[in-house]
Amino acid sequence: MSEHVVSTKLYYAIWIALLVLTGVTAGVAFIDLGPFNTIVALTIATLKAVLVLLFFMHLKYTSEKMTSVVVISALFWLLILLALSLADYTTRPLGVN
Amino acid sequence: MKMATAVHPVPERENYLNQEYGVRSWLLTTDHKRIALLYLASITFFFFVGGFFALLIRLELLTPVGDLVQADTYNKLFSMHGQIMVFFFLVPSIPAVLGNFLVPLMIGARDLAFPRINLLSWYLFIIAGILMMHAVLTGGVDTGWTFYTPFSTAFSNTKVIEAGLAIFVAGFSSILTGLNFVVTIHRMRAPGMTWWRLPLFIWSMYATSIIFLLGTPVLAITLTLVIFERAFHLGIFDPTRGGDPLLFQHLFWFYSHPAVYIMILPSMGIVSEIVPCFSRKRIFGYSFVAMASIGIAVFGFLVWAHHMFVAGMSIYAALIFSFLSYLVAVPSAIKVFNWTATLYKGSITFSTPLLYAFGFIGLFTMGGLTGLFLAALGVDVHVTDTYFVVAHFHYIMVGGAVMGYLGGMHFWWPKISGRMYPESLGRLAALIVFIGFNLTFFPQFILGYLGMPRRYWQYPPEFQVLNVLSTAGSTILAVGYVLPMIYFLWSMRYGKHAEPNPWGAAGLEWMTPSPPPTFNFEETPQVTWEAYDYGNIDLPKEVPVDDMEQQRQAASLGMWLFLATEVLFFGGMFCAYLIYRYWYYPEFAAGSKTLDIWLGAINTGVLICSSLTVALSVRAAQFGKRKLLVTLLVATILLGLVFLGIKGVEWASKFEEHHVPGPSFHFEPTAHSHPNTKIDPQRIQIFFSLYFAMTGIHALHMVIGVGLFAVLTFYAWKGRYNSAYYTPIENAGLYWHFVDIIWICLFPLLYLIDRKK
Repeated sequence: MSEHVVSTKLYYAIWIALLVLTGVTAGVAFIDLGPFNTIVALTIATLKAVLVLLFFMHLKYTSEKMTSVVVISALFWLLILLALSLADYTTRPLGVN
Repeated sequence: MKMATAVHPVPERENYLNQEYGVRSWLLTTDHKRIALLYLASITFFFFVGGFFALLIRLELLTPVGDLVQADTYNKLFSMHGQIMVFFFLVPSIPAVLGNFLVPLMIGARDLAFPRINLLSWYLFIIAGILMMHAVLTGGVDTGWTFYTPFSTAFSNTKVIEAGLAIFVAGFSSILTGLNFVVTIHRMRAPGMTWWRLPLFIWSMYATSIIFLLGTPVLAITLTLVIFERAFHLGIFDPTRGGDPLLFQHLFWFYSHPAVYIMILPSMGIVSEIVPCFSRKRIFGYSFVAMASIGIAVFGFLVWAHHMFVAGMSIYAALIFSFLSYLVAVPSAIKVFNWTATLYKGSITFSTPLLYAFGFIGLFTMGGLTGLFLAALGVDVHVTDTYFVVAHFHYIMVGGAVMGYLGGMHFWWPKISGRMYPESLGRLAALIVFIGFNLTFFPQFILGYLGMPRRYWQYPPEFQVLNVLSTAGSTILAVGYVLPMIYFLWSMRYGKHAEPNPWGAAGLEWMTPSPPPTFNFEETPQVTWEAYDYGNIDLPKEVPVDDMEQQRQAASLGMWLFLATEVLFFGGMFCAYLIYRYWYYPEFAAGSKTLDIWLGAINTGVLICSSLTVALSVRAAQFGKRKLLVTLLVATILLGLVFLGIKGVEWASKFEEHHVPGPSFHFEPTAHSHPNTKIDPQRIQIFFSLYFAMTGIHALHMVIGVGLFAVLTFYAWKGRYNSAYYTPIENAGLYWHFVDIIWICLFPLLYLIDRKK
């Protein structure tokens, strides 16, 4: 068995961190930060996703390089889709019907 | 040359074909070679259905007036010709038939990594095929193969939903094939078969699989959104509600342009096998040809909007896509030059497979170069939607992909069937195909240049001569296609028995008898040489093989690949969300305010708790704690159900408030928005369309996860999992965490847009 065994303590710590971050993100939404509302919300979501990915999904512990390659490829391809689509939408008039 | 030539075929020798008999032994087989033959029969059927429509199109175009069929029928004919040929023949053709047959043989494996998933992918293909044929027989589809909105969502009265569903299922089948290939190529190579010793066909299958995995899910979500828009009035592409039909085109071509490379890359792989064999030379520039395949797979994703230059996209973006489109020409040209360099001073035998490879090189080059005309903005404006485009892509797909497929079928037919086909008839058929093809499609270049638009059932009389030539060519082409089918069938009974290696070719597949035994090799081969190189000998590194561990790793890699496709599946919706939120921020803010932030937050908490129970259950399985495992799995299921229950309450309130897109949609702007922001209530439907599509598909994933865990709980209760075997728990856990991550992203995107007081 090569799979890493993670201690329950760490699992609970991640769990609490995720719950706290959920509370924070919901609370911060009511404070007017201007454009930073969106930035904070997305940063917290990314942080939570990374925590799940690294610890619950064991990405941090895997000795398998391919797993990281797959994750990075998926995100890279998503980036292609978003970035090249936006290349069109950010440079033509809004909502023309 | 290293080859096991000692094994001579004995008619009664046991092989994969005579191992078992009867329908059952075929329909329940997990042997990759038999599944390849199941695919061969299925795609041949679809090839002839699609070809039948093509002949009807050509017959109609024999005369300038619409005499054989009228406009409506003609629209259906070219639509169904395209859909069947693309999704039910070209995309699966080489990967599912020759790839299935050859990938394990070429890398020295007993089978693919997941034989049962391989069979499942064939059944999915058949289900898709039945749906498609049902759509065809009960009225057909008239949207073109491209399903462009708003015609497909709001106007067409044909079987759009059914055909869309069929292509969705067929896409799922190709994703599973691609996943199987990637894991097999990573995990199942024989000792000594290093990456740089892989046959180039394997490299091309690997590149094709990348596109299957990362492109197909975007097509799946796009067609899903079209189906939702038709069936449930979600309005994501509907211009009357502020939706953008061009967004459909962006998402559609994100898959469908790379899909061209799904069709052509495998053929390139075949040519890379045939050319060295029949010129008796090493391939010129092995690593460049291999990397060019990967390069095409990646660059292929950067060029899609060159299909949309005249559709109204921004000029600036069009410039970027035009430039990027030229990039793809580079790896394609590398391949063509390397094949010709391989032939240079080779000892060439003009056998049937090589004739097809020659056909491929010439016709693909013409198709590729005319593609550059279309990538050039100025020329493209002139020839868009003319027969020039039709001719161009048929030179790639028929002149390239089908030529390669036929060449490969001839090359490996002795291995597949254990019989030789008649060589002189083979050469004759190759010649007929080449002549018929050029006669059919070359006139279409001229027609397009002269301005004849595609997709019309009638045309001005001055175009008739060229159209008659084209129709005449298509009948010759049909003869060229029917001929091999007849002599292949004939050879199965009457053909000469084939030696293990009739061509004196390199490659592991030629070192086992023809046809191969069920498990491919008597002994796992040890590879000590490069592909196409017979002189170098070294000792393979000893690779410790642990079957359980290998299976665990293979399953885990398979799951991660599946999750990668899921990223792109949801990615299509994230893309739509991003664009509309950028365009319609006030409407999105107002729509978001109607959602209950606390229900959303509680649901996030519920899912996070379920992720904890899942993580702990994997740990419990690792330690073999059966009762704890069962308890944790049950807790996960309950938490999942709580999530779905809360979601249901939320949806129900949306119904009551008439916030569901469709005829009864109603929105009171002042109640939810800044009094001095001007918002368009119609456009808020886009927000709710995305809300329902995203949360709905997320909830569907939850339902699947709950079902999965219910099954696992049952097996855990039975004591199937222990510290040595807990892969299913681990993989279901990965899936569940992924679904959690999606929700973690959806929560701020949908609920937290504008909450500030």
